[in-house]
Amino acid sequence: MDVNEEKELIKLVQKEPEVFAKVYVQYYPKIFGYVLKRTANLEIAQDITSETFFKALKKLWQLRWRNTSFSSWLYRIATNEINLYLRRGKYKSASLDELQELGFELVSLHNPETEIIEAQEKLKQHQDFIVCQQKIAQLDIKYQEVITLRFFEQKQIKEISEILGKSEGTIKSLLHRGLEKLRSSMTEEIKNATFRRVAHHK
Amino acid sequence: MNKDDLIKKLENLDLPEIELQSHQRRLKMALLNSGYWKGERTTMALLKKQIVPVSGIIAIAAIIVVFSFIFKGAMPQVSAQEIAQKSYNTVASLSQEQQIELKQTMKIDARDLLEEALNAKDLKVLTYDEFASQYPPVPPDPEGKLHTLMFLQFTRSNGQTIILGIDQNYLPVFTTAMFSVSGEDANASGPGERGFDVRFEDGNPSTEEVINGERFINGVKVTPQE
Repeated sequence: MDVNEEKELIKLVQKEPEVFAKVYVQYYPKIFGYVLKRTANLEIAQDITSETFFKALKKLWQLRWRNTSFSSWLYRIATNEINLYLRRGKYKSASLDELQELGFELVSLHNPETEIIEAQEKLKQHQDFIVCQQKIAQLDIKYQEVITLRFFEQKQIKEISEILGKSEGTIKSLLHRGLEKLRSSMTEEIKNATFRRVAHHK
Repeated sequence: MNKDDLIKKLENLDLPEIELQSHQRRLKMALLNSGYWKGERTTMALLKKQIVPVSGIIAIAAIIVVFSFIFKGAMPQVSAQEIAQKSYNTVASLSQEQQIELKQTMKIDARDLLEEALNAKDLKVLTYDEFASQYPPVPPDPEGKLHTLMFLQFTRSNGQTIILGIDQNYLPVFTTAMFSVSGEDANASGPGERGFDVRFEDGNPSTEEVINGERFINGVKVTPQE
């Protein structure tokens, strides 16, 4: 999407609920996927995704084109919400249940419990990811952000710089140091695992 | 494991692609039902963008309050002028027969009186209570028609104070004139068939005088009947 298209999109999405709905459908899977990859927790990912879109809607009228794409803007809100959760160790959001209490009419066609159970089963099948995510989650938040955005969301350095509001040089530096820390952590884990296996065989 | 191996591992990791359709749908409904789409954003936008800063609103409110005190007397004048002008136009638009009938009913040339009202510097609108306090005792009004009238008050060049009753169609219904007699106010009024019984004091005109060639009954200019 070029600059003019982005500008036009921002104007339309602010005024037209239909356009907002289309944009939501386009971005929901991306934002939910990003939050899930940062937290590896389906319930938390639901809450943070909900809060991200509600905050986006609240701030929509303020949105002006400042060389930041709509996508980066949404990712930035999501990143801030994830970081809030990670720093506090818990998450308090305007969850869907709270919204229902406020009188929002929510329609559920599927049983959410069943959906969550199925999704958890699916998540468990990605053991390599879970192990890797757990290692990343042990790093400082500033490294978690850049590694997840770069490798799990396949974002370019420029985009990560937009999302995090940091210079490209800083992002490269954070990525370099973060990968180094992750490598050390994983190498240590491999050594320990090898040691445990050997000990077990003996 | 070296750094390149790690990068390859991360790049080739089998990532979970999970969708929660139900959550997505419910959230969409909640978002589209949000107050944002019902115009709440406009007020918020104005306040938060500070296009109209709160301090500005307070300042404007203060100015309005101050001006309303300063021009307290002038503001009803605008309304009184409008009423007098509309009434004058209404009377002027009447047919000749209707004008004669009105003149006979009012016992006065309402058009002339309204012209005087328009030129008066102190023309103002009275509320019913103000009218009642200046017209003791208030004429019998069993149907409450007096409450539906607009009351114009002004001072004539000879110092007489006129109150003109005007109905909702901007037609004059009655007049009263007040003038001081030995330091006391005396009232005179002209009854209207269209209106209600606005009586003369004691049922009859109490005074009659001619000032500058014009005939006045209880201070009200009387146009000779044709």
